[in-house]
Amino acid sequence: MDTTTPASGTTIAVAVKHVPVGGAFLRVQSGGLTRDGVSHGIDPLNEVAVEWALQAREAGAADRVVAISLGPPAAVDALRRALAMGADEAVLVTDPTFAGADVRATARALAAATERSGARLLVAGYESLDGSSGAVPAAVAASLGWPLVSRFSAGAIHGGALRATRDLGAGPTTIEVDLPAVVSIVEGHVTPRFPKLKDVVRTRSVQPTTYSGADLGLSLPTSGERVVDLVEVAQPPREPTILDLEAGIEELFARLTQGASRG
Amino acid sequence: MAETRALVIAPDEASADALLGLVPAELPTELVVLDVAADDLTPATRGLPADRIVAVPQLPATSDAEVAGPFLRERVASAQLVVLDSSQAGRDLAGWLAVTLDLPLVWAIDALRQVDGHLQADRVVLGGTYRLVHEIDPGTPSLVLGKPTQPASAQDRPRSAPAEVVEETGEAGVSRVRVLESPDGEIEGVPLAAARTVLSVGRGIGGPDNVDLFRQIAARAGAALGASRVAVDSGWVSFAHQVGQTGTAVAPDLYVAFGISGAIQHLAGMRGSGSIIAVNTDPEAPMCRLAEIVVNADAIEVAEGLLKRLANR
Ligand SMILES: Cc1cc2nc3c(=O)[nH]c(=O)nc-3n(C[C@H](O)[C@H](O)[C@H](O)COP(=O)(O)OP(=O)(O)OC[C@H]3O[C@@H](n4cnc5c(N)ncnc54)[C@H](O)[C@@H]3O)c2cc1C
Ligand SMILES: Nc1ncnc2c1ncn2[C@@H]1O[C@H](COP(=O)(O)O)[C@@H](O)[C@H]1O
Repeated sequence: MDTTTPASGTTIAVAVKHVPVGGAFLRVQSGGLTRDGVSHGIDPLNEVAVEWALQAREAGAADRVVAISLGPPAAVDALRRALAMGADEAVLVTDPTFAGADVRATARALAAATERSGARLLVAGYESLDGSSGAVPAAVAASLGWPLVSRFSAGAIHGGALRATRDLGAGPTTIEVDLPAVVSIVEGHVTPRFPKLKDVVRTRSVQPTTYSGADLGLSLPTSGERVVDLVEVAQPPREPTILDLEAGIEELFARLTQGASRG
Repeated sequence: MAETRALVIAPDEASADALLGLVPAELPTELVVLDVAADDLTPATRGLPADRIVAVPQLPATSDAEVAGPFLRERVASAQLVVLDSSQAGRDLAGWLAVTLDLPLVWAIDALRQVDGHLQADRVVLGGTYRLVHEIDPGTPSLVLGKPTQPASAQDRPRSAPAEVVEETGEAGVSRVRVLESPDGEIEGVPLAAARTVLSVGRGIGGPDNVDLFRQIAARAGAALGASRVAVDSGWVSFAHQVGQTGTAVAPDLYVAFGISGAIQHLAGMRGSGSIIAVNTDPEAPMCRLAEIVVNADAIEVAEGLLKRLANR
């Protein structure tokens, strides 16, 4: 291990989102989409991010892990999960004017909170469970002016730099980046620990440090776009033809060779 | 009112065709294709319904946003509608542009249209049972992450004149991410985006040793190899093959799913396919409900029989 830069003093922030879990992400209610009445919790991918940060701390590469969330007051649940897993502190950015915050606003708020935390590394998920843009980590990196490493699966901090494996579609690539940096993690390599019951109980009533938009000096941009309609898509009832092994092979053969002769 | 100009930023030629298919036909459109020299553009790309095609050989498709962003920012700032692909590099670039140029961003958009001078963008939600319609303020340039379903070349689009084709070099940014080791060789086979036939594999094919069987079938059938996230996360095939919400969106004439259950996130990337054939031991799997034909049999037995048939053709 590289010891040129002491690890002490390095804080890792983890962006955790409180999302609808358990299958139903949204509900239709009086012609609009709502998250009310859908059960919520920490995004499981963000537990992977927390786990990676905790392991970095346990390996001595950092000495503090701060979980940060932007959301309604109920998002404290996601933060408490991170605390129960072992995060040292929790920060909630909550403000009624941030309801429906777009990518820019979300990113600026997370960036401001990350800066306040003193972190030199922000770990996010590559995409939220509730089908969001997957653009927030890059937008946070741009807000902070920090480099971005997206879709990393494994990596370690050595002497002020992160060395990691990522895949942007061209295959696994080993990269290195000096901190400060923003990174987004994928599932598959790090398995989140299950918090102990006593830690769940201990953190059940912990109040996170809370900021409003004004506390962070943020004002919302005019969004420029809005949802005007929710349209039900007619689902034509389909009665598939069921084939057995032999018939299936013949059908596939016919379809695939038909395509080949055409083009 | 100023004329709405569209800008499409595509990581490769196949995606260019696919993304262009989203742009309302009446909008003047500039197409930027990364990672290719003007001289190397195929006739098919040159024939796409764009007014101008800009080839940018200096930027690889998976360039970091801080490299591609500075190169593209002026161009983006002067367009009203900017369509990018939903690959990770596309999302990263969109996030960078949204913050740097202070632009709104909509994502997972599978249809765009102009209604009374307003631009509307549709996002499919709740597993395709509903569409969320966004309206973008006139005069507000906005970023769109596309999930195209029908390539421009498969649509009947009137064209007045052939596209003007130029090549541009310029000031790109410098990445602070150092690449120490990159995979050798290209991703083999037909690229997913805009493939007319896609053959995809999921958990039901059993394991990494069976992937080769499907590669061979795909090669013989001229099909692209797709995969579910389970097959990718398990390391059976690389991320470039992933179809779905996080992977590539495809809309081929024929989509064959071997051992794929059809989770919402997978369907998000292929539900626009012409015909779907599901090979699955469970005829109740969601994929089978979407399919035109269900082959109710073991994926490997079907693949072995099929390969034999193709080899003896
Ligand atoms: C934020 C987010 C993004 C995601 N993005 C994507 C994405 O882009 N793409 C994606 O694919 N998934 C994505 N997923 C994951 C998705 O939810 C599913 O977990 C995944 O698609 C399931 O893969 P699968 O169908 O291969 O596996 P399974 O769901 O386990 O299905 C296996 C299927 O194989 C069948 N089978 C078993 N044995 C055989 C046999 N011998 N022969 C034939 N069939 C057999 C089974 O009946 C079953 O239907 C995402 C999830 C999240 C939360
Ligand atoms: N409201 C939020 N609070 C905390 N983290 C967030 C929030 N939105 C996005 N993120 C982070 O950004 C990642 C990608 O989200 P997205 O770009 O919205 O799909 C998530 O996994 C989180 O790490």
